[in-house]
Amino acid sequence: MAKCFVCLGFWLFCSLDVLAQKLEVLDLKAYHDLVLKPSDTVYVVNFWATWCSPCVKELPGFLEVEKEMGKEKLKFVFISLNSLKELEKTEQFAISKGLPFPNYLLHAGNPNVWIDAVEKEWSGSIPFTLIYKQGKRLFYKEGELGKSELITTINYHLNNK
Amino acid sequence: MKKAIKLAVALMFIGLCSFTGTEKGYQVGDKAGSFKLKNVDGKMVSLEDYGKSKGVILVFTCNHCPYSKKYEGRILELDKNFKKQGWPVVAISSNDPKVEPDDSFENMQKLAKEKRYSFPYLFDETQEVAKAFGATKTPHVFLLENKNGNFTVQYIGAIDDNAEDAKAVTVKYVEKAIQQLGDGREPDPSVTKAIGCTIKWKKAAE
Repeated sequence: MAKCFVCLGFWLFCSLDVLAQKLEVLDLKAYHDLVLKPSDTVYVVNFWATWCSPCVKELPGFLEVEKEMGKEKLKFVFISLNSLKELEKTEQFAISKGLPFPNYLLHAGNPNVWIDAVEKEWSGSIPFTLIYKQGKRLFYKEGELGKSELITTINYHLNNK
Repeated sequence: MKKAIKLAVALMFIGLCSFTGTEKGYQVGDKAGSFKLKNVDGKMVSLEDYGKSKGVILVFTCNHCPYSKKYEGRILELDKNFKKQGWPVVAISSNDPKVEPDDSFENMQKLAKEKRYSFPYLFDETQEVAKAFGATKTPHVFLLENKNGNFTVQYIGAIDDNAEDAKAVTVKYVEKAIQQLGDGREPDPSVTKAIGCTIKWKKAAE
């Protein structure tokens, strides 16, 4: 009997784990709610897509930085620009690459509205990385961001009050 | 001596500015320089060949990019609908095939045949045309209006406002701009952000 409970518990745990590995779909408001928080946490936001080879190339570096720098006061937010039709495929891809969950897919209508709303200077090309803290956008970079540059930038904004 | 340093710094600054200036490419209102590129049929095509048309719908696109694929049908449709109105499509691929083998000249030929491209599909092997225009994405449109043989940039950006779903498009930017030019007005918007893949530039020699 007890064994059964253990099994059941294990099964529940596993299914919860699977449930947690879901991509959340964001609209523009949800995006701003997510990154514009009045806290000391540094939010590193990375826009990527499975079809974007430079994005996929830079992901491991980001994951290494996340591991090395810890999660206190630092949060990585990965946002896929894959289409809604590719939700499942993107989810599988994110799991296989070991991206931290929750993990997101942006579905926000006309790109010529939401790109400007995210960042006026952004041409819309990915990879695109932003840093937010205290509800303010403090940094952005279009194109690949190397590991050492990422660490330096994060450190600067972690330490800068 | 101090003066010389100041002058040198000033010159460097000017040099820097002009460099970033050219890197940006054409703006709306600029006259487009000519180009001559090899088409998939092996013949050379230049802007001067369009001296009798009202303008040219110049599209930087490519084979491999998922966004270019989503727009293939719509680019064909633009050519079909607007060539007879004096606005033919000219497509250019500037991607480095070493970075994206799908974008080799041979593969461009295959795609043009397979999709029955009714317009030239030119290979910008040196990437100089993309750089001159300031094209960064695929697809990336430049509407060039023919003003007595001078091709003037009138619109830069996306084809329409929904790459994902052609049926859900609410604004067809390129069509709208051509209509506005036909009415003697300036396109509004004249610049939009092109949505797509970045042009795959040649890697600098190591």
